[in-house]
Amino acid sequence: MSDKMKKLTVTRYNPETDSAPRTQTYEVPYDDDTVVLDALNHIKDQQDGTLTYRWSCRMGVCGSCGMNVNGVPKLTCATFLRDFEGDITVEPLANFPIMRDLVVNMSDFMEKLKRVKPWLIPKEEKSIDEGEYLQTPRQLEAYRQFSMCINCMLCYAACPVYGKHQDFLGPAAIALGHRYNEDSRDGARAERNKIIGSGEGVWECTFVGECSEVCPKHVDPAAAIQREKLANVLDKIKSFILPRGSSR
Amino acid sequence: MAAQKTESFWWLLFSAGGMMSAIFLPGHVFFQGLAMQLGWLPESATSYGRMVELLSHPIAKLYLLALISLSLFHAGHRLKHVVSDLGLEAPGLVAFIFYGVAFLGTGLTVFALANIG
Repeated sequence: MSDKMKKLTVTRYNPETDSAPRTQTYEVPYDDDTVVLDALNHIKDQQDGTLTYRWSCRMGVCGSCGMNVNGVPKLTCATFLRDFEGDITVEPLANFPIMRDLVVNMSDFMEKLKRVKPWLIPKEEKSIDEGEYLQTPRQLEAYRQFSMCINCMLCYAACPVYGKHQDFLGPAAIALGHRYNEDSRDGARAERNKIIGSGEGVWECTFVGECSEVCPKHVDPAAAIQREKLANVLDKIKSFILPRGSSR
Repeated sequence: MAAQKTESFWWLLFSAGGMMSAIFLPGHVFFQGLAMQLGWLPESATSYGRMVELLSHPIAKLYLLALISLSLFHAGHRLKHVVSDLGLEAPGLVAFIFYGVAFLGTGLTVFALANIG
């Protein structure tokens, strides 16, 4: 490792001894390959073993190491120190309660994720003898992008609506719901839309679009939300014109 | 605070207005704002008489009404959310002001178009 040094100001909070979060500054060596997560690991291994944060895969797949770096929600395993001039501030993801240091409580998100039923609910159950639920490449393309979500919650940390109204279902949960709504093998759109199309779902979104800006997997949750809005309005118009007709 | 039940209705107007203004307004800016003013179009096409004749047609009136009214609702809905994103929490009053302006603009447009031709 080179002799270049970088200052990291990190949020510290121990619920047993601190009344409010505080910050602590560390100095770490870095080179062109050092990411923020490496710097945190260096601090934990070499300087301060009490620093607490989540991480797992180190390669942008698991979605565990999301934090606010200089105020922007980032996967710290994919955020290079070389890209920052001056000192770096590392904070826990915004809009979530802090459990300890850089670890946030994600229970609210987990509960919301469950509510949109992010799993396949086929129109008609097939027996194993009847074979697979087949799908064309085109049908796959309809939802593939929205299936790339790694539940890192950066979009929630970036969303000003979620910051103000915690009842908002939020970008990732809606994008995941949209992913299953668009799946040709699925038949539970009407059921999901009781949640997605409600006042706590898509209609709370004020189309700021920051969710798509920060998404490390280019899921574009803002687009999912807008599409669900349109589908929802079309459903309403259809049920108005054809009160006894079925939804799409 | 959950969004209001009427949100989907306003969003539909917003969405339609966004589409209308994105497709047609640049053309108006070009033809009426630039081409007409700089004399790029023949006098016969832009004369007062020709314009009155054009706007006397019901389809032209309907088009202008849709363009102006939906664009106003688009702007009103967008601004309503901008104000809320900026932290002003008075949804009823804000909606009344912005949608009110859109309704007023729609009314004035109807009045003006009804008096042409």
